[in-house]
Amino acid sequence: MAAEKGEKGAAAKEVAGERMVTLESSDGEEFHMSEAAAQLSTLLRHVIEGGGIDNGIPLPKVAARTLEKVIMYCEKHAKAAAKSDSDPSAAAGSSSDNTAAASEDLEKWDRKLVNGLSQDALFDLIVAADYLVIDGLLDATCRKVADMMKGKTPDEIRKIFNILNDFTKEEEEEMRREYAWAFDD
Amino acid sequence: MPKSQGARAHRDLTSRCHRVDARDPNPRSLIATMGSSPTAAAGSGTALEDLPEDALLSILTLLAPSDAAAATCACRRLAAAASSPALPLALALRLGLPPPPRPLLPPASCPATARRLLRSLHRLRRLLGLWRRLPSVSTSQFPPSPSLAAFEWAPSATLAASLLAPSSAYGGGVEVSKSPFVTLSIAESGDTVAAIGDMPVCVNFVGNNHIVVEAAAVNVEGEEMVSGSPPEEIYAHFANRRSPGAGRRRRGRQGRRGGGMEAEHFVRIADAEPTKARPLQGLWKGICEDRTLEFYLVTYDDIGGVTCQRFSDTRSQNSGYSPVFWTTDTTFLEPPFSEQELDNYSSRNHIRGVDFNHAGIENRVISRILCINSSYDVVEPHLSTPLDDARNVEGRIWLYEDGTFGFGFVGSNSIIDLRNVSSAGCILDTLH
Repeated sequence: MAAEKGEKGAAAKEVAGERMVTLESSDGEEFHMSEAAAQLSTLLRHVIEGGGIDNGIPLPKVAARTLEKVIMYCEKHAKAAAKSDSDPSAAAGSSSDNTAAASEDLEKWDRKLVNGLSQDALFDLIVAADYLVIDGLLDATCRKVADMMKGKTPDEIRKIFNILNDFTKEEEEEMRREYAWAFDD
Repeated sequence: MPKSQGARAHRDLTSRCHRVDARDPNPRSLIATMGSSPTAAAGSGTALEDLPEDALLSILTLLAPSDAAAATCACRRLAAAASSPALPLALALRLGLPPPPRPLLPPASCPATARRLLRSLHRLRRLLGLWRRLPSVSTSQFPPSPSLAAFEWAPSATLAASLLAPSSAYGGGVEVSKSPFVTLSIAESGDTVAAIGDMPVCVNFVGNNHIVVEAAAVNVEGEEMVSGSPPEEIYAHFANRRSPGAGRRRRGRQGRRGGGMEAEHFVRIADAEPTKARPLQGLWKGICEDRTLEFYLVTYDDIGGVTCQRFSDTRSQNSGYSPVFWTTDTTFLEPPFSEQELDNYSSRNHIRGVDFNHAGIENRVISRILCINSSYDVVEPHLSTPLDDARNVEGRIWLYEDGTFGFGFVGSNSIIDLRNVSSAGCILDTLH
């Protein structure tokens, strides 16, 4: 498991030759993640580049259970990127079966990650991905939500996501008229 | 659709960090200032309506128009996201429009314009890909006009369609010539405009996989058409009129159709590229027995079979395809291969063009082998038993490590090697 809980107050340290950073969730738990994985987050990359992370990086908007998933995603993708960089056929730019297969496998892994989440956990992961600016994770989680909406009526969408219908009847009618084109195309 | 920057690309992180001194050694101040967006605190039962706008935009760009409309009608928060001026750009970027410098989309000055913009973007996206022209009933041209069209994104937020043809009859390579066809762009009004050279045209869908390209109706007052057709002039000319390229056909009081152009029908070539599960699928090109470059379409059917047809530019009443090989069993032979199979391959010549430079390796690394047949069983419907087809000759497909493949038949000592016509939506090896 990539998200290891380390010693309190641990600085950015090296584990097996790899630099690690310490993250602190909103509920006070500490996690370690490789610097390579942390680079997938634009926010964390800026923080690391700014220095001064000896006492860890606090993430007041990300709870432990969500941070665990974030770290799983980042470590997986960082490892896949490192493997792809060291693959000579990828470096040569050839479109090999292996490169396409690796990409498909990673997508399958992403889908498995988000499919295993409750709706609450999924939304928290979306908030975290947006906050930490991790484009790939935001994309994967939003795709899951989009998939849940496909083929549904407005009422069904409200039921699935427990959304209150805050339109008046007249407003609903107007919306339907304005978007009638979407059903013609 | 490519995984892309989605809604995020328009947002510059540095602008969010501008209040923080980059030299600030305390990361806590940077983290604290990032909390300015109205998001729910993590772990407290986040609702869909509480998701950040970037996420809602991302979700909307992933939905087909009808699904996005349903989501928009679910609640005010989603409706507000759908009306965001950032949505058309987010959609454009997700659809793969050329990256920054920013695509020249018209500004979404009001929600109605934004909706038309979204509609146009979705319509352009549906046109992306390869299309085959259906034979016309009129007298055929000689030489026949190419019947393969490729719709691709072009600069300035346009969609450019080109006609593809083998580059020359006796060349040695696999280059494909590309001649300009239709250009589609989005007017200031948000509507789609289309033209072939100077001539405005309509490109209308008949279902999802069939389009009709025909001259647009000309204004009876004889309004001058734009001469020269850079997209900006098309914007300027059509900005204040109902677009001839959008939606349904507009005949009637608009008057005659101009240009003397016959309506041209195209059907989509679906599945034009291979996948991991269907490695032979797609539109391919290769030098055939008469040393000319040909296009081959390989399709998988619903019962586990594969057929390959040569894509021809004839104007005959046939579909424009002639059969090449087929198989009902797509189970590949895996390595290690028998000596007989390896000899069968290595003893053959790879067909090349006349001027081909013979440098390079002839035999390539084979990853898998498939048994095929060279013709269809012919079945006469009024006979109770099928006829024997004496032309049913066995052959092989040799799938190479790089994803391309070659094929050949018993009784012949040649291999036709095929390459992809397109990859990730881009036409390969083109000559303009």
